[in-house]
Amino acid sequence: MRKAILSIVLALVLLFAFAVPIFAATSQNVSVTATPAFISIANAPATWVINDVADAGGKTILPDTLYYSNPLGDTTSPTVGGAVDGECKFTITNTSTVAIDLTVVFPHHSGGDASTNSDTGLNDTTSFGAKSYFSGQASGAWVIAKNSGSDVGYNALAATTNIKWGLIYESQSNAWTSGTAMTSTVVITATAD
Amino acid sequence: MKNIIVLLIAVGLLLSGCGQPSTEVQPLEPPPELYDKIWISPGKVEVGNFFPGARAEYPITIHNGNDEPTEFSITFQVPGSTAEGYEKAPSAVQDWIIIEDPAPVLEAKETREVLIAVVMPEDAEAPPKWEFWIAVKDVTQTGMVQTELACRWLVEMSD
Repeated sequence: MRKAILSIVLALVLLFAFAVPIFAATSQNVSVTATPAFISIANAPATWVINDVADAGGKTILPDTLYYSNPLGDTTSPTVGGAVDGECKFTITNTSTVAIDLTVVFPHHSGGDASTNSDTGLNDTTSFGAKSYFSGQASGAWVIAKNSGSDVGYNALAATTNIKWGLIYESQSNAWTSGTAMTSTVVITATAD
Repeated sequence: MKNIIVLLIAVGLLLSGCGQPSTEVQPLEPPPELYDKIWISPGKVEVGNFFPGARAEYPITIHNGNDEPTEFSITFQVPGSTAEGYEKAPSAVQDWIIIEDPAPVLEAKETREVLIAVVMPEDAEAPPKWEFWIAVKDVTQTGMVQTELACRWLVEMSD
């Protein structure tokens, strides 16, 4: 009887010791560690009508023109030596529990002439250029807002603080052909620093 | 005899446990001021000792701070900038990601976990260290400028 029990136990031990690791080989020794944090932001306002920063209405976008979300003027550049708060339309507030990085993408347009993002920050035939700027940044730090996968535009915004920011849009170099509106949605993404 | 049996069982359980993945979780309660805001957690997931054929998983927690049911999109993204020493995830990684529910609809003030898994094929290759993002966006947002939250996944391959 004892021999039988011992044999069964031994068989089970061998099964667990050798068979289970074989079945679980795809996850062997992989470690997963999560950093506890809550990521949350608020941005205002949520709208920008290009070439109508004052929301006056009735304006159209001209081709081959640089536009800014600058409350001081649609074609007025922020200070190249360092943008100031008054030149920034948007305010983003970091309501996270940690410092965050901010990344801005400006996807290809859909509809109308379907102007595409050149991903260079400069316009070209049928393509537009876009950049983001944050208060305090000189022009050399203004980051290209790509169709996707932009570099970080603002690094390490501390928790419970805010920063003002804006957008630059250079319309495509050639004339419009469709005569109908096109649309795109800018997305600002927050990640833990 | 009993001692031998107990010893054998202990050794067996010990050996069988060696092959399991380890997941380190440091629970943290959200501060009350985030109750009426949309948030995600965690901010970063670090995967170590990863290898072809391996699987790593961790849930992303989403909170809907809105006063009405809200649909979210959960997507894989290749970042433009990565942590120091890390490379952008190869484009093929998109096919390795499993998102339990890529379009969850959360009730007002609901908090929900959505499991994210990365399963690397046996014959695949990857840089020694690579990063990808799992981005969460409230798709009910309107306006030209919208916000998104992303969890960074930092993956380090085994030697």
